[in-house]
Amino acid sequence: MNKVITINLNGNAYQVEERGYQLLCEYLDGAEAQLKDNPDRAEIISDLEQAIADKCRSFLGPQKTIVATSEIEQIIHAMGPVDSEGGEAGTSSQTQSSSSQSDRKSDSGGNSKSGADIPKRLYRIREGKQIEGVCTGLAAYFGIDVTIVRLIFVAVAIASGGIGVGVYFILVVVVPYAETSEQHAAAFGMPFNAQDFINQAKEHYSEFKKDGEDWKQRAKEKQHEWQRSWRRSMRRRRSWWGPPPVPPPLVGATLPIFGVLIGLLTLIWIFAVISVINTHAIFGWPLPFRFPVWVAIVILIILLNVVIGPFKYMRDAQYAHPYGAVVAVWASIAWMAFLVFVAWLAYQHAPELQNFIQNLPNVWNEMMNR
Amino acid sequence: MSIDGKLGPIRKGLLEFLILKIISADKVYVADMLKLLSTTEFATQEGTLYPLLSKMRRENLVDYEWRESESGPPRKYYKLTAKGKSQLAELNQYWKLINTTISELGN
Repeated sequence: MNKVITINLNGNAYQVEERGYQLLCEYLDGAEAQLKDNPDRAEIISDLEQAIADKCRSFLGPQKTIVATSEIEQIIHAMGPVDSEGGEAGTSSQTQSSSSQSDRKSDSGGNSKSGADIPKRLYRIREGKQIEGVCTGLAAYFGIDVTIVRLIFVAVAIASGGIGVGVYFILVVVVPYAETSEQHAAAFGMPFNAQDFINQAKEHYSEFKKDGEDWKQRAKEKQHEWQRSWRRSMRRRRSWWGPPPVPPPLVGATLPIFGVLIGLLTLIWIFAVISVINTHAIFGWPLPFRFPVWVAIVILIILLNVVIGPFKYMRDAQYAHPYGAVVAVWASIAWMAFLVFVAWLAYQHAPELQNFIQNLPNVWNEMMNR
Repeated sequence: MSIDGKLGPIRKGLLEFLILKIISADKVYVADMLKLLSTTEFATQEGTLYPLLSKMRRENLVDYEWRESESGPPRKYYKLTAKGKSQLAELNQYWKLINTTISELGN
């Protein structure tokens, strides 16, 4: 049994086996590398994709909906190596293909050597964002959990008396969204294409092998780790390779409901955190005797994420709809209104907030002294 | 150097000439060209042909138009521009000249 991946070849959807998909990725990445100085690169790549799509179609029929790996191999062989000069014809293509392959090997070998220090850049990231994707971007950049980044941001924003909020909006203006796959990869400091992943995995493997049998297990784990992160990055690219997730039918109409729900739950959560720090009780319900406050806060964070997770998923699924942009505009307007409302609430409850800020160091000390 | 290593550059140089010839006969798309060439010693592949066609288009020798096909998405049909036609005429003449030279020399 083989995993099947749906791919988008120049606007046509095809289902191919996973290994075949990897081969296609390598072929197209290689073509792109060969054509990197060609002004018509994008057009040639889309022509090549179209030609691959035509060949895929010839393998499909009413009873056969998946292109097998062996068929992908045939297709790639028939396509031939991509030649940036636009030149050589005839039987010498065999020698040419082997030479261009060794070229690519040395090429990507060079890449993977520098692969350890792939440049990381700060981007804002849409996936999983709450407001404008600043915190998700920072979390990716520093490689820590987004919830921790948010907590630090909120703490700084409160402690600095609003300067943190200003910093947030400066970051929104200054830091761009990660739009392309390369930018996504740079945001996480990860290698971008399949070839780099495989090379890195291989490199790690050979390093471990040198140190003897004991390391083999670790090398395998490392490879699995790379495969996992590759899959994760593929999931992020899904709008690029293949169809977006099927949008739920009640698009637009349901969005405000989810937005309001998420907002309300977040608000209740903020109140719960404030009340637990100020009064050692959640809405009048006291914590057990000697129960540390910071544990209660951690539990509250987990609870919040568990409860609003499904709503967030529903909301994010709607962005994938053709009218996702319109929906997103509405969502951000709703968020702005929500933020204004929170600011108003904070203003109304100034004494409690001051109390809350004064109590924060105690919670910190309690956690550190354990 | 092997004989194939010597013939390769000759084929490479002539491929563009042949493509001009094929396109001059009729508006064609890439699969047609590959099919026509497949039975000759100039058999080539998409990986070579698309970059070559894009270079020829940049040099303003060929142009293309989109045409609907009965099966699948629209296809690019290539045709010669005025410049392409005049270059084909020059190449034809030059080819005849080379042929005469080769057959007359050393006889």
